[in-house]
Amino acid sequence: MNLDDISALSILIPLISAVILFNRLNKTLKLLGVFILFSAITETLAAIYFEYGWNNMIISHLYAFAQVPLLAWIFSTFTNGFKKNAIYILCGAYLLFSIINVIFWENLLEFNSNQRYFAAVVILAYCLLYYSQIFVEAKIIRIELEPNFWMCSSILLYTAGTLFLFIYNKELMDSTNQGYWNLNCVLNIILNIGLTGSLWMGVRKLN
Amino acid sequence: MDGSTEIELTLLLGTAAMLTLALFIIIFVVAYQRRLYAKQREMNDMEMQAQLELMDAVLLAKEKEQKRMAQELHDGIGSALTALKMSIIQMNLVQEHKKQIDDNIKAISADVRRISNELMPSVLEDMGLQAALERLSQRIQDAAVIDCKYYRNYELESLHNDQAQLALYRVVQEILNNIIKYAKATEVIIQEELNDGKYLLTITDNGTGFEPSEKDMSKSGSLGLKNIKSRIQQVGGTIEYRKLSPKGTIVNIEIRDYEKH
Repeated sequence: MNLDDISALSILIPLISAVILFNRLNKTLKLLGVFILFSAITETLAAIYFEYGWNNMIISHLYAFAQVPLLAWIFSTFTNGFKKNAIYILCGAYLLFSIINVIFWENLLEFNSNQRYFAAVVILAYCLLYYSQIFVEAKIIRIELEPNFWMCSSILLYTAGTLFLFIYNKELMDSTNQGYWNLNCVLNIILNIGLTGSLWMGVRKLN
Repeated sequence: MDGSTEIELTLLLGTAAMLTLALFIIIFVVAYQRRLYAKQREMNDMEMQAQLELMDAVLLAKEKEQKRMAQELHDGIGSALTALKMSIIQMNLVQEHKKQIDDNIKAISADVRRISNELMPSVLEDMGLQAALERLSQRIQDAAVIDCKYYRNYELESLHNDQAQLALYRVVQEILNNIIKYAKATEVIIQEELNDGKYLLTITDNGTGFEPSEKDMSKSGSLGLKNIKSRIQQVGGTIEYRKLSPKGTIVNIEIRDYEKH
């Protein structure tokens, strides 16, 4: 089993956790569970398409289209006021851009580099909005036990670490350097561990 | 440098910079949030301390005023009633009327004594906390409100200084008042113990059960509970309320260095 396989299979950890804990999770973490399930399904579909030699870029577009609205929904459950509105506005702008991108620049059979880049920027903005809320409200006692902080930090790390990979994805397709894809795998494993931590912290908090 | 090397370099530097930035943000958030929380807790503690000090001062002033009023009642009205009684004896009145007036004066005297005693129990000053608690439980027992019993496991005259005795007496008084008003209890046991150098005062009832929430003890909470907490802190003790199963409440007051207080 190589790093690619471990990375691909690592989604099972948060997925199984979400299934086991689903009834004991709050609304935010239930939505996170749905997001994990959605990611697992699209990753599996992409792998099947790849196995059969079909173009799986349509799956990549589908994932990117749903990813930001889903994350916007999740983040909107624990943000308020200006931040909540900012989340919706960014999501709307992202969807608009995605449609324009598909029509004019990257069709459904091409890798959606622009869309992924825009998505990463929007997601980074969501994370920063959440952090700013922590400081303004100052309600959290032990941040290391806060499920939303675990979720947000693992998403931030993954998104920041893979931002340039998505920008140069087309160029990297031809490269022989495996190092960047290994980095992507490592960050993906970290993301899945972080999301699992978030789910368990959520149950601990509710108890 | 060819195009692909340039892209790889940009990718490497960009990814490294983004990861560093992300890690820096996470570490900064954790560190700053901890500092923020510590500062907030420090401010809350200071505010709480100031509130307790203010409450101490208010309670002290109240006790002083109550003592003055008790003395006024006892020395002023009490003496005036005795003088009135003597005058009536010397008056040329029908025996029946004299007896009626005498009975009224006796009743008024008893009321004055009772009010004066409630304001500042003389038994506390004369004989100490144990005797005062014994009398308090006896009074409740006599009023047939609740079956109230008092026990202690030591025979010392007095363990605390006057101020501490008064504080503990007031706490028991307040807790008993609360039990009578809200607990629907039929039995109360007041117990004083000395165990391993610790002074323990326990009040147990068989009522509906009560455990104050954090909100009850906070700034906006019950004044009675805050008074109790403040008085217990005055004497360097701790207080704990515990609901009993299936019913009732136990209030534990513990003072470690009771000889200092």
